[in-house]
Amino acid sequence: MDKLLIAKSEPLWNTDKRIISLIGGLIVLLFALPHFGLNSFYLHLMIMIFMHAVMAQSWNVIAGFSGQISLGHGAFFGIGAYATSFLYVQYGISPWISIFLGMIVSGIAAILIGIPMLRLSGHYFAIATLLIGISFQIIFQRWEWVGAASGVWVPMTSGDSWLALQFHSSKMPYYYIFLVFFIITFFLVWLLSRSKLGYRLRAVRDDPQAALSLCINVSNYKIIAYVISAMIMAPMGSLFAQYILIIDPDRVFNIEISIIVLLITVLGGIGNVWGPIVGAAILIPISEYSRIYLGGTGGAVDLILYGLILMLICIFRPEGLISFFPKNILERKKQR
Amino acid sequence: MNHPAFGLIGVFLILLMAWIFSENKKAISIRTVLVCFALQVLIAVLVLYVPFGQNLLTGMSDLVITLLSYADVGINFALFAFVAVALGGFGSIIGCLYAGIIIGLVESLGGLLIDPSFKLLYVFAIYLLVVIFRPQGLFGRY
Repeated sequence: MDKLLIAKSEPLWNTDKRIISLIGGLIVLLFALPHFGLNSFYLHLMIMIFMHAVMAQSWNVIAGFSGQISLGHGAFFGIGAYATSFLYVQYGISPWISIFLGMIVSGIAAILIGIPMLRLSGHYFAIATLLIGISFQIIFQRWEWVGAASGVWVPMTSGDSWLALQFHSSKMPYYYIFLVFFIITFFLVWLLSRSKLGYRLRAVRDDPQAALSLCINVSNYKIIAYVISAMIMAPMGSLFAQYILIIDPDRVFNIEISIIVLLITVLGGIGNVWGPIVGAAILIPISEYSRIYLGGTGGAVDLILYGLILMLICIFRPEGLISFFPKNILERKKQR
Repeated sequence: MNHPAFGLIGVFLILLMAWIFSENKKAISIRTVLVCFALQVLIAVLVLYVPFGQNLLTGMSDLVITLLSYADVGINFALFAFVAVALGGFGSIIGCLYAGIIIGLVESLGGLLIDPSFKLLYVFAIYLLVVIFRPQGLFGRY
């Protein structure tokens, strides 16, 4: 009886004032950062970190929470990218609307892929998603209606335009847009991880048989996780398309996108809400800086480092870099 | 923003944060930290300013790029091998044989009879179709 009362009186999340002020301070710092005289390279770096953190978070939802290793997440990124740029070029629909259309389309695609494929287990599912990812690339490379292999060129507006989501004079607006999406996504996924749905997904990951015996509809929950994951991925594709203003199948459906989100999540900490931030904050600067110091082609130094770091992490810290932080910072305070 | 002092401030901020978040502050040996920091500076100087270090790094990078370009050629075969094993069912030897024959035939005949630019898609479609009706592959047991 005592234990029940204690459990009821436990706060829903970490109410430690220091932690809350730390997170609040970080958010304020991120909002203020562009005004400290960052040049456009640093803004680009931060934008890439935000984008990859959200993409990795999307993969984290399906692989970390519900335990299904998907190797075809680039497909949803590409759907998002094509949704905004193609609808804008063809029908003049504002990207702000088509971001949500892209989310809906990729959610539907996730349902259509998920219903037959999520029945598969382990390697079979991983290979199936890998093939679906490559298939999307091949189809879009040959599809004349959406520009085939030359892709879609978004016509530039003269000057900055919030309606068309294009900014040519400065990267600052992009920074804030990506930052807002980043904060919203992480907040929602954090809510998800604490909700009933989040706990059920983890039950499905840890032991599907046991979850089934507790009346958790395993296949439905897997599909729900897949749809959520796809709907997180799609807006990043849309925003990326608006950021670089030219997309082609080789870039937005690239298999490397599916791999990099996996690398970031595994490095940062798979199944942990904050893991993707740590992973992205470490991997993206490595690749951008090695690109600068070693010339245009980038060299393979970043790949060497990725491989090395990943091997060390897998051997010594399988739960990712996030595990270096003390547990009480990340989880709710135990009240005894 | 490009002043070197910013880098130093960053390094010390990270160390400070690590110290604040440390659960056992007494166990931190300042000597180890300093030696590791010196080692890092040494490596950075070697790589960024000494010609030998630069050559070493670019040489290593070129080596890996060469290796990767060879691997890129092979990856298409590896992908098909991967698909063939999954199509036949993991752990089944006879399944591998049949899956290999099916994939080879589908790829060549599909390219010949329908449209060669979608060659890969036919193979993928066969795999996905088989797996929808038989999740464990053609001859797999689990």
